[in-house]
Amino acid sequence: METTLTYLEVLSRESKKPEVEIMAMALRAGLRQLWRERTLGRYLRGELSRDEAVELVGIDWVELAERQYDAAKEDLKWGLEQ
Amino acid sequence: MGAGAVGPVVADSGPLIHLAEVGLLGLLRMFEAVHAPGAVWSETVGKGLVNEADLMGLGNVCRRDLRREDVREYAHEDGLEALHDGELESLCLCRMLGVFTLLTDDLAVRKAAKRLGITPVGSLGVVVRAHKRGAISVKEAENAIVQLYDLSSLFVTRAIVDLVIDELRKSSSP
Repeated sequence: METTLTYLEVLSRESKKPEVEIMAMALRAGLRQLWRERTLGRYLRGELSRDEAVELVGIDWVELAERQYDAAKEDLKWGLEQ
Repeated sequence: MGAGAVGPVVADSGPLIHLAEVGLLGLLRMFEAVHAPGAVWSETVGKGLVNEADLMGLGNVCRRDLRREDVREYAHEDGLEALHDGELESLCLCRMLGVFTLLTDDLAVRKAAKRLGITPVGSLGVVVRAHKRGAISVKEAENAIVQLYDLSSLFVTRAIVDLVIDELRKSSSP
């Protein structure tokens, strides 16, 4: 909590915007992130096509999720070895 | 606990930092030895991100300082100049010691490691293996994975955390 308050104070001071405006921006940014993660999750679970995912969140995020997914699968395979 | 230690590994900074952030450095005890090059030491202990006493207290962690010339030559030979010092030294140390497993959470390093015949393993893999060996329960492994996402600086998409947990549960069910 102390960190959150510090972030708020510093961002408000440096951007010369009121704290309430920073909080509104943070809410929008947080929701965008959560929505992006939901979209990528649906893509990785096969509920969305790649083209649809690219359309919704952009190619960079889709490619990053694919690389992370491949890495996670490799980790699982290694981790579950006897 | 499963029989015998897991073979030796070289550690890049990421897994040391991420496991330390969630209080799980102890999982590294399962390895026969964890070799950390000097640049990784600087990026972790040197920056106050990992406590030196905690790391040395594991009993299997060895700091390995490499000669700059050796690392530069290695980077040039293998076309690895784009990597950062810790990443580069980690790969170089793998070759020097004949160690074929590298702990890293960096996607670019994973790609380079595979090209060089080295198996990259991330923090998630360490947690899964610790569970597989019986060091932690499936519930503890799930919590550890969620904490790596929620609390640590490991950059991973939530969907992947959920997929890893699903697979972990499937592998643990009778």
